[in-house]
Amino acid sequence: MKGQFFIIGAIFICVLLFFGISPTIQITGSPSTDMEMIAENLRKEFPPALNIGINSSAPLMTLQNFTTFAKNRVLDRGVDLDVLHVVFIPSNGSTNVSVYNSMDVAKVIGVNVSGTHRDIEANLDTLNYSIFTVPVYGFNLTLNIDGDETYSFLLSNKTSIYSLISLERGDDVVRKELLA
Amino acid sequence: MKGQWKTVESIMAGMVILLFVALLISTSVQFTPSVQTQGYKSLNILYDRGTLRAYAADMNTTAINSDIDTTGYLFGLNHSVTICNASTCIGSVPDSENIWASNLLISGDEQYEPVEVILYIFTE
Repeated sequence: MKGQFFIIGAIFICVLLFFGISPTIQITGSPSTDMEMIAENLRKEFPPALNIGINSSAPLMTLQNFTTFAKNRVLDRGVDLDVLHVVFIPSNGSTNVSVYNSMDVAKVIGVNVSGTHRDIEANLDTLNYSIFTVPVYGFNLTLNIDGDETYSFLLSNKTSIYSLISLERGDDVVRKELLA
Repeated sequence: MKGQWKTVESIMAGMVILLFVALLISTSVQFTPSVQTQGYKSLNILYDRGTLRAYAADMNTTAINSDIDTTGYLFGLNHSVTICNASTCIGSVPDSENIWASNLLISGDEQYEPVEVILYIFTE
């Protein structure tokens, strides 16, 4: 009988706790870091930077300059920014595929445009390009970067951009991709 | 035998309480956004509206600071804005012991004029 009173008492305490304890314990913090915010900011801002460059007939230079500006600004906060851009610029039945590598290692980018494959070498802080003939409306694209493949269908008459954004601060790393 | 049953029943009673408290805590922990995150959300609202880009291109810290109040994320918090381009900054860092900073990079409006917009949130 006494033991059963223990159980009844436990249930009674639980009821008191249920009504007595605040149902929500709030912890101030955030599941995301400022690096997530920076990465998302750049993911949204690289296309407008490219558009500004297109309007001034200097798309790649504008993109490069903005990338350099961003790297310098975030470095003030102890964040290392590395970016790889692959830009597709239409030109008379072709597309000029330009690779700008501002990462800390040289890269070889595998580009497959509607079945035609080429490897574009991109050394540090350099721009390299290759020209592909494309169908009138659009083309299937496969990008291979360090073994990771990205697939998409791009319009032949539109400038497009793929960016790989990487931010590092100590052991924290944030990576985002952009395709627009 | 009776004593052993009492022991078992008291252990069961204790486990009922512990399990209930564990369940209560595990389902009730929530993250409230940090002040810095609220700052980013405010800036992103202005970014998505398109107003941040235009004000940033004009280096108009006053307009951005005023518009921040319309986002609803920083109610009751003090804030100021600084805009930096490659060579100079307009606006100043507030003099406070508690400051949070949220920033956005903008490439320009119709021309290439890259700036960093820094929103400072602080307590008096």
